[in-house]
Amino acid sequence: MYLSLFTEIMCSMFSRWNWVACGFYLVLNICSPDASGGLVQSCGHIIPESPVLALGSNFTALCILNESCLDFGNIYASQIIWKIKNKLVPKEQYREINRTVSSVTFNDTSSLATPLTCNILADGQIEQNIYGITVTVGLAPEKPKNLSCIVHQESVLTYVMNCTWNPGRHTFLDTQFRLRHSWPEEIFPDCIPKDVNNSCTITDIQFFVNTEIWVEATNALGKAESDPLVVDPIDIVKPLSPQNVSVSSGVLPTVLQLCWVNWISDAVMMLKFNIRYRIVGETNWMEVPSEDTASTRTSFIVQGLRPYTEYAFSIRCMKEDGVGYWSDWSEEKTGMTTEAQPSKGPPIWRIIDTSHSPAFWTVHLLWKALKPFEANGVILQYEVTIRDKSSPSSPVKKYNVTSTNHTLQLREGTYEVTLVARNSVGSSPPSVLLIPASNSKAPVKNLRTLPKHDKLWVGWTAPNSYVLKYVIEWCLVSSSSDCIIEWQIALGGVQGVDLKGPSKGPTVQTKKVGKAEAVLTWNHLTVEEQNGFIRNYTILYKTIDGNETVVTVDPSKTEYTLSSLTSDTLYTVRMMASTDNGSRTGPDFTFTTQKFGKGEIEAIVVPVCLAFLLIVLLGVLFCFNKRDLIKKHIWPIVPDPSKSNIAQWSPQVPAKHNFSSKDQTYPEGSFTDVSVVEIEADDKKSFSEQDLKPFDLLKKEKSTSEGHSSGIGGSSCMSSPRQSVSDSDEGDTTQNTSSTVQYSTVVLNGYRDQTPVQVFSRSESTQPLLDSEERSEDHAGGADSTAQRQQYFRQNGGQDETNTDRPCFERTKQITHANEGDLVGFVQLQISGQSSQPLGLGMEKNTQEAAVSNVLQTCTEGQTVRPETVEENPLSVDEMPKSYLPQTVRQGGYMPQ
Amino acid sequence: MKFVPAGVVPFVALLLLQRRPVAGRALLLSGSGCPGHGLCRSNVQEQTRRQVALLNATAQELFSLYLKCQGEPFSSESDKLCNPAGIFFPAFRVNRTSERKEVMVAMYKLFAFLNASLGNITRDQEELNPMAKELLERLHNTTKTTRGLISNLTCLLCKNYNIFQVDVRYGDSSKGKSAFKKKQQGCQVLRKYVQVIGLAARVLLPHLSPS
Repeated sequence: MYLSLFTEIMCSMFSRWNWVACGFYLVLNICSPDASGGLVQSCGHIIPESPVLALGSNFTALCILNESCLDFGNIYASQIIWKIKNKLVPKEQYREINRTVSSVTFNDTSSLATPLTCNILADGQIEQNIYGITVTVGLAPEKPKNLSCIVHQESVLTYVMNCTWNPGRHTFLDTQFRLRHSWPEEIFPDCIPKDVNNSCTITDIQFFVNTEIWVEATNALGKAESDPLVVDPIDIVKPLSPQNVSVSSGVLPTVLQLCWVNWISDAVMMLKFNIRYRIVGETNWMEVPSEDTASTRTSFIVQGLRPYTEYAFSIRCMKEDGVGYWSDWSEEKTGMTTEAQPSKGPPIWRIIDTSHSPAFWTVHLLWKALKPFEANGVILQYEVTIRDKSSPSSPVKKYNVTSTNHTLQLREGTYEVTLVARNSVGSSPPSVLLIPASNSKAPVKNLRTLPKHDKLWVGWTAPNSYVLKYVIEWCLVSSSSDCIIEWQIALGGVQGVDLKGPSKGPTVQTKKVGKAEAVLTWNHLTVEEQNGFIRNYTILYKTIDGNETVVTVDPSKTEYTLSSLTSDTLYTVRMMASTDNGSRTGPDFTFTTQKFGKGEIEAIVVPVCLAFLLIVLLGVLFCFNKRDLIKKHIWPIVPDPSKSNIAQWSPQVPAKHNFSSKDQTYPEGSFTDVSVVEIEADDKKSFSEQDLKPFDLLKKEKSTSEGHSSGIGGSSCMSSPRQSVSDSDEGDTTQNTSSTVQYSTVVLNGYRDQTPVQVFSRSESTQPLLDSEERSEDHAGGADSTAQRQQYFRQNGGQDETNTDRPCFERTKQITHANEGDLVGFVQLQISGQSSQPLGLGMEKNTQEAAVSNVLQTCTEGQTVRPETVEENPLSVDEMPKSYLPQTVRQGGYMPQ
Repeated sequence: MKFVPAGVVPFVALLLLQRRPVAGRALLLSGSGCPGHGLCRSNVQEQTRRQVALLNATAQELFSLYLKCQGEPFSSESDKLCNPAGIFFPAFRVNRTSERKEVMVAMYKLFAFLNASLGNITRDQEELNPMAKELLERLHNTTKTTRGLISNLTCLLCKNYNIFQVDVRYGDSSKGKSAFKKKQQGCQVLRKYVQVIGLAARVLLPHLSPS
């Protein structure tokens, strides 16, 4: 229902009066007990409500106004206007029945649309909707027609009945179809079609009872029933086709026995059958006479077949009386008849070569293989018998031949040649050829030829005398080949013959293409296309610019594999079928051999991948083993000047000191990544034994950490993260810090004018050192050069691989008063801790060659610096470099400002 | 043929159901039309013969399958357990020389009883052997065939003899009995059914053959 007209609409109509009246009206309507739903009240309604109308009929609707609206709204039926959708209905169709009722009439409902609304022109202008209805227009259902049913067998015991009908015209309405069926005293449940309106399947059916079936179509405009169909479901059965069909050969070579199983028991239905059969490879079916298979059975012997021929059979069945439907044809089954003796002798001819000597002939006997239906089996051999007619006393010569020709050396004379073909069952009738001593020309005249379609017709005028048969000889005249004589026999009554060859060549295609081989397939030519007996197929293939290769294939084959092809090459192949009477080539087919053979790609890719993985693995292992070296190269330690608090440089020249070590001495050049800051300290005592305690700890640690690498800091012995020694912060000194601690700086004296503050500062910088900082040249001159330059901050880069990883250490003799044993221990720890095992030899060498400094310049991270180191060559504050790391940085290296 | 709900088919007003044994007694009426007149055609006689033949052809298989599905001791001692001596089964005292009408009435009584009994057996087997699909399918089909047979006999009795009411007695209900008793009752009924249906087929054949 389309409902509108609310009280507020009424308010708008009252607007000209006053708002007080409007409000009063609203209150009245809202509070009115008659108001539907209690809140709104319609000012009218339309009857009929939501009608369903027949298309083309007439229709009248009434709009009835409420009395209340008349009183307060001052609206009357005369003000009503009707609309279809938004289109005004002409006023000619209105009729004012009384002051509250207006009607509208449509002579043809096809002009109707939905909604149909009743509206009021309030105050003569303002259009307000009062009520609306939906109008449905359609057609009553037509009587369903052409009801037909078929019972489908689904299994041995299961049948369903499918009925179809013509539902008639489209009704534009929701129309329900029901398929109904009943017995005299029983009506069965309806079958309601799903998604369709013209068919339904009943699953509960009963044979041998007359069943009434009909269709009911129902919609809002009516109901229609089809004519009833009265049928016994057994009379409309479409049975399942016979199953398990088997074919077996019989005793005779011309019969085959069929056996099958019926899906329907005889008690339910007696059956009759159709049996069809064809020679495999042919398309035309033959059928067993229906009267021979008109009764229920499960086997049948098909007679009159060709020996040694493969037949395909198919069976169908239906109710014996012919009422109902045929089943589908069963699956085809094939069977082969047994062999019989050849039915005729092979056609034979001869070619006599007298070129060597007229007295001695070379006789080529030629015969044609029997056609399959003549051979009746596999021809195992031919027996050729030669009788010398000129000399009856001469012995008969016999030859057993498996090919279709035989060459003899005969003396000039008259001979009778007899040819017999043999298969496993027997021999053919003999073919006889007389070879006269002197050959005269055939008495035929007017020999002529005429191309006719794909054949060459040869005609002649027959002689007057009786002719048993003619032999036509011909050859292909070609510059590229010799005249190879072919021949054909025609019966004596004819005066012309077609020299036939195949009408088309086989269409070849590839079944599989590899790198060096391609499997070709083709279909046999039909009998009509063969125009004879296919002697062989010839495959001709070539590359675009190569020579054509010819392969002869047995005519029984339909597949051949070309081998020794070139990979990734385009080949063109065609195929020629040859009969005795000619050849015909089929269409060209091109294919491209593959670039890679089967498994070749895998054979290449897999080893490459494995090799790559191996290389990666080795690389990773190498990097892992050499991680210190790599780290040093790509992530060297860079002091961060921004965090330094060095107050004063101590340009102490670290001389090459002898370092008393228990076991080892270290050349300065072997030191790497040493950062030494020698700072003049006011208080020498501040460097106490307590400060060196960590070394003790490290010494102890050595016993367990030997051979370990020390991470980032560990690559630089002097900036090792292992140890920090400080006057002020003992706790820090004992920490085994992480690699992020690159070095530490201790400021004991004031830098320049600054007040010296004894500070131990640890840099957290991970900024990499520049290559130049680690160049071996830096310390190539050993301690001498650095000493002369009074370098007090040194980084030693490895000069070579051997030295690169070597621990480096430098001492200053000023601190010899310290616990030397501890220091040595510490040095040892550093060495052993820094070095990889392969470096052990180098270490020993260095130990012997290098003079060990007795000046301790601790190269541990958290560097410990002794103020005593400034004794020898202390630089004044003014002489000290202005930058933090000026001396050891070269070549655009890091120059912190 | 698909499943049909088991049970007794309502025979409208044609049959008067009674609980006591009553000899076949045809009530003769004349003048009133037979129900479903349009369906009561000449082929009903042949249809009836085919139905009896079908039941006869399948009865032994049904009985054997029933025994097999009940397990021991039914499969081994069927002679003893399935002896139908103690149960009610409609008398079928007609022969080939009996009056055709008498044969038809006896047939009606027999198949009305069988239809009800087969419905009960089917119901019991659905409960006792729900997985014995083939047995259930054969029971359904046999019940359905007897249902169609009753419809055809109704037509023949009404059309040929104006008989539209036959007193029929049904067997005892198996409801509430033990599983063994249900199996035994079904076994007894089916065994008797095999015997009687063969006789019915022989008797009915000359009466229903096209004359």
